[in-house]
Amino acid sequence: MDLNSMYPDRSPQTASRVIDNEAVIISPQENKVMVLNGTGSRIWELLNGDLRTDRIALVISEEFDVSYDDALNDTREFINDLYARDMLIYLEHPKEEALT
Amino acid sequence: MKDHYNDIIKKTMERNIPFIVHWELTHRCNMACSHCYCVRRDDKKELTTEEIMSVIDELAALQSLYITFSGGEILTRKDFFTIARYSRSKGFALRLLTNGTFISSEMADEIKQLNPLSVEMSVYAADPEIHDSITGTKGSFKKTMRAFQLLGQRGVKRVVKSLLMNQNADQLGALTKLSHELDSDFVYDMTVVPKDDGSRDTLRYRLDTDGMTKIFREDDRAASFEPLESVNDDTFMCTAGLNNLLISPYGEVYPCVGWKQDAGNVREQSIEQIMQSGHFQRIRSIKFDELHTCRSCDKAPYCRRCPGLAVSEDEDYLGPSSAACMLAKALKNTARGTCLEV
Ligand code: SF4
Repeated sequence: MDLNSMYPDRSPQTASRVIDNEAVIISPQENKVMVLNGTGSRIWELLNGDLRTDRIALVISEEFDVSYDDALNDTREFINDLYARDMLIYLEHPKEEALT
Repeated sequence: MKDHYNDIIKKTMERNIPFIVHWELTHRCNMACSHCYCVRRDDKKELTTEEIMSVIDELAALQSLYITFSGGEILTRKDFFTIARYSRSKGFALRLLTNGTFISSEMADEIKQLNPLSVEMSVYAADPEIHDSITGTKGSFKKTMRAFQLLGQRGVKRVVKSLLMNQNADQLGALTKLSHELDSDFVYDMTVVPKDDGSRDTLRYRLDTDGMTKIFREDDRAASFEPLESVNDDTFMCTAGLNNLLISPYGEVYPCVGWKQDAGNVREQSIEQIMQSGHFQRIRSIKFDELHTCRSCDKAPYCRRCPGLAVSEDEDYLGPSSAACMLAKALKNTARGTCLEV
């Protein structure tokens, strides 16, 4: 299973809101509250089941003015961490496609 | 992390985002607790599943995060799991308040699927007879204990929630022990409140200051209670109507669970409009200096005054709350370890 070719989506088991560009998330494993920094919060918003990790990294590199390679590394690391905490799931096909 | 979260909470208060919602889904209940403040209104119509879902959509758009579903008994609503699942799909974190007596293994599975922050169940005594006499329902203790077990087996966080009154004032130690055995958290309160229709019948169950002091003296946390260093708008005033609200089974919106003066109905107005109503605005504007008695009270550093109770029991939202006065006296007696002030 190549996760890089899949579409990460926020886990339905996770409760979250974004207030003033800061994401407040309640992790499903421990029901603990986490507050993400600016970049993490933006990635969280982009985890919508429609974008692959490389596409998310592209948005991050443009919006936060960092190189694409750095953005890709950081985004992958961040997404892997969320996956390990059961805070996201991977979809084989984009969500939008599933709706059409 | 904690500071960050506190900053977010502050923002929700400044912008009146209803971050924390308490929702009484129904006032129907299968038990008949002596002290219950809910009054079932058969002349009013409970919100339908569709109406509730539409309010959930609205709350999600307003960035609400927490919903506590309570009753009455939430599981008397046939659509409870439809509502709860829908809330989860909209990104809400849930707390469930229930008496637990309806919870079967199948229901426990469904509750596990909801991954609630906690399921809080009322337990009034470790002695089944005392508990059942308070709930007015024979066999209720046994059923509630079964719910603790079923949910515990599934790893759901459970809380023993108790109200200590005249009938069960001697149960603090036993309830603490029971909650350890059940591997559950334990919270208790001593604030018996008037009924929603204004009747004060329930108040006869409330402990007097002496009884409250006795309980605080049994509780190590009360002995080490740190009074407020300074009493002002930031430290003393509650958050009613700032970032929390209560929705009644009939759609009425109140500033909090303790303040049962409605500011509008979700059937007629949006939550956003209700939060900007005159009632909510006035509540938010109250300053400590306006509290004519509290502002010069020496017990204020020990007090958790509830303005809603000041209204329902003492009919003055700027005055003291009798219940808070008793608790503050009891806490001051305990924290200082001095002789009783009654
Ligand atoms: S509610 Fe009673 S104890 Fe609390 S500050 Fe006011 S007067 Fe004092």
